[in-house]
Amino acid sequence: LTTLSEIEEHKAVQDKLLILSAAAGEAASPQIRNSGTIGGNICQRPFCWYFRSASFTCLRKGGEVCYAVAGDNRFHAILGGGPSYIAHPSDVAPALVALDARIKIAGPAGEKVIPLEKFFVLPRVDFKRENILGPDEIVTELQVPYPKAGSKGFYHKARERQAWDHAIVSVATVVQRRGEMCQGARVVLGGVAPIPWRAAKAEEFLRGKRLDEGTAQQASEIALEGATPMKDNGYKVGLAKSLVQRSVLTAV
Amino acid sequence: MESFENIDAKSVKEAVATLQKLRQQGKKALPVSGGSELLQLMKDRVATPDYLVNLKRSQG
Repeated sequence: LTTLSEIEEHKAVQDKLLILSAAAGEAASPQIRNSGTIGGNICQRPFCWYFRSASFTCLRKGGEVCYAVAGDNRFHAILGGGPSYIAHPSDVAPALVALDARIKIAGPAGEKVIPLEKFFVLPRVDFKRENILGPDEIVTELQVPYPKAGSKGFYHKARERQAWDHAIVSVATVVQRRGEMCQGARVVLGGVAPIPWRAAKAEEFLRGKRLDEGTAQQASEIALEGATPMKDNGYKVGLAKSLVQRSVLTAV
Repeated sequence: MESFENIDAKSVKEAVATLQKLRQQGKKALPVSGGSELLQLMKDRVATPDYLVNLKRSQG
């Protein structure tokens, strides 16, 4: 029942898991952060305007059509979409996935702990849900390991206005480095896909590379390979590339 | 917003059991903690539960 404000302000989180504190502090408004919990935040339903409108019975609500395909899709997914094109709205979820968090779920059969990455569900698997949570299940705990020595994290959120808004694109990156070399990286994008999107190929590319502008630029191209923007959301591709580059260079 | 009934759960275990029992009775029940997301979904009539199982007063 920990609220986003408590995460944002907690001393140990600020010291050891700065990107989580930053992501919690970027979410929603102060009032919502004081009430909304971190567990609830990662279980948010999509903020697609067709999904939220009572006038549209969209695919995700049992209808036949994802209205974003032919409609106004400026805030929808550019990666991992189809047949539904929602963008996952959570700020803390990309940060938690970048930190390799695990999630504990209580249900009728007892408790289970799984990697948070495995919690989220792509629409091609099931377009009526965003995660695996069953009807009688409750998220009870998030377990976050401290990053390895030499790690540096980065969370950045781009949005249409400066406050109280969802991410158009966000990126949570944790880079582990020794000297100028990258020993390992996790790069997770928010706002671009129906789930917090791990740029696995970019992570692989970064391992063992010298951290410089060229590397950052190539990693950003790889991270957005396969992006399929629609009529109104092509701008997200360039924005996401810029944020990935910036996140990698912040580790230098 | 449609009307609904609130049930305060004393523990997570009790909340899970309550959700399961209500669902088996054919009722729509959802757990709620902070409420900042769920109440909005209810106002938008995207979520229309008969019962909310409130976790805020639960002890572990």
